[in-house]
Amino acid sequence: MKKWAELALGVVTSMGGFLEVGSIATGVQGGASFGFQLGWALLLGTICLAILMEATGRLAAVSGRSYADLLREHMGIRFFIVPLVAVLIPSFLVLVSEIGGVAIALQMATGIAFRWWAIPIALVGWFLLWRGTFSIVEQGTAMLGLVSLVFLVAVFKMHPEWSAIGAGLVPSRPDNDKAKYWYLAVSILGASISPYLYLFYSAGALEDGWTIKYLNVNRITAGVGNLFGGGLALMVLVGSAIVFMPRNIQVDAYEQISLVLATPLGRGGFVLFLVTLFITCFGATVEITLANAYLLAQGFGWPWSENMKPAKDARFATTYTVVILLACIPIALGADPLKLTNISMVISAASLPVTVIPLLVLMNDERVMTTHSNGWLGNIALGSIAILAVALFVLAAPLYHLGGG
Amino acid sequence: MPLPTLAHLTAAANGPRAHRAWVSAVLCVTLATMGCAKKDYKSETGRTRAWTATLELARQQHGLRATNDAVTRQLLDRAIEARAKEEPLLAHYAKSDSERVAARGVLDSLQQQIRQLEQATR
Repeated sequence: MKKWAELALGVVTSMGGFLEVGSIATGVQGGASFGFQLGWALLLGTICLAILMEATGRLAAVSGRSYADLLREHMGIRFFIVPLVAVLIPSFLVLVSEIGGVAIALQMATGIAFRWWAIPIALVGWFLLWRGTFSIVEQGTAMLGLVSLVFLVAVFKMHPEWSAIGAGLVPSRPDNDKAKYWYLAVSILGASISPYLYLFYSAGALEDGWTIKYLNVNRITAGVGNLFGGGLALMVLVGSAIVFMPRNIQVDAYEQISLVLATPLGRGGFVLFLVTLFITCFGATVEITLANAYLLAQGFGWPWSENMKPAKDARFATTYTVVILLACIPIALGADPLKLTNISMVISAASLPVTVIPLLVLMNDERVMTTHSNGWLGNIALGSIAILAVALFVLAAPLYHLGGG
Repeated sequence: MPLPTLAHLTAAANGPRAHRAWVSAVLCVTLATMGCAKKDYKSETGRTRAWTATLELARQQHGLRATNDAVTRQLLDRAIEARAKEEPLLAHYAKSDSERVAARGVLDSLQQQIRQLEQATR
């Protein structure tokens, strides 16, 4: 019974925590410019994320150790520095974007410029990390994040053509603006498969004390939770396609996005959009801050746990303190949150190979995985993601340039 | 399926300096290219028209009291900012007289929407 409750909680957490600044921004931009046509990128990103989460969750449950820890131990500190830097840079940029998302939500609600909110947001986030436990950080914010179901309600109210949405889940070539189309596809993939997501998930498995008894919980949480979460992200794209595309509206500012929900749902939709943006971005802010601290602490072998008192894991606590305070600076200085989001999603996509390829190797190492190493199906899945990751690495920057990002 | 060994993988990063220099060069080019997104006449007129359409929708929603005054004002400010930015860009990218006339029309439409929304928010 306890396990079923944990399973339900895991699925709900994955769903409530799926939307964040990147998935909202890229989904809305994709829908506004190409209607339902980029639905396939969201589907592909969701499937890839589910596979990567299942793998990192299994790695943690079987070995009792984190991905970063194993990476450093098995491949050496000099190799470890490459993925460390490649994950820290985009994760930090995504963190800045998330703080920007919260700040913009507050700006839209109050009229006070977003830059004034950056430091208070960082302080509240830090306080939550300092005083809270892992379950409060993860489950609390994700539960509140279920408010994002409002996108589903809005889409149902607009009576979309479901067959056309289904057709968008199959990749197709655009009639015009090819570079922009592929740039947005890369951005959507970058938002869906951000490395911090599966590294955080893996650390969370250890925080929750997962063992091999949790392998089914892991499989279902990663699969079903992400499926529902990806469905919600698809609703963002669909809503934008219905409201913006017929009017030829391109999205250059977060303020425009509020109209996606205000148009079908009126004042209530507008308010719920602000609440959704605030909660989902705030949830992602604390999660990414923790993910960065986990990565450094696990990689360098420091004591770490969000469930420990900060005095017991001082270097870990210092790391998240420094990370969140540094991340609020660009927003406090007035950096454009949407531009930052677009850049960080592309860099996120480009950084994938250095975490995905070593994961494929570790998942086949029987010294680590014992009898739970990857089968042929798992290898094909992870191998395909690794190929996709290399393609994204090569194409991300040229597409950003050509696609007018 | 034969998979790369740990030694193969680590060799790339722990190996000769040339490897690391190559990786650094790719990263530098990637980051440098990020700084300069493509702009042309078509994309800039599209962007200006998009702001005109945004303001039209914002005016409708403001009339229905679906959005608050703060957001309407912020959209207005963004559109004014976008128009100021697009005007010199369109002048630069418009190559023929017909393009210049069309660009003027697009900018005028946006200006008209700005005025209408300003009136609506007073």
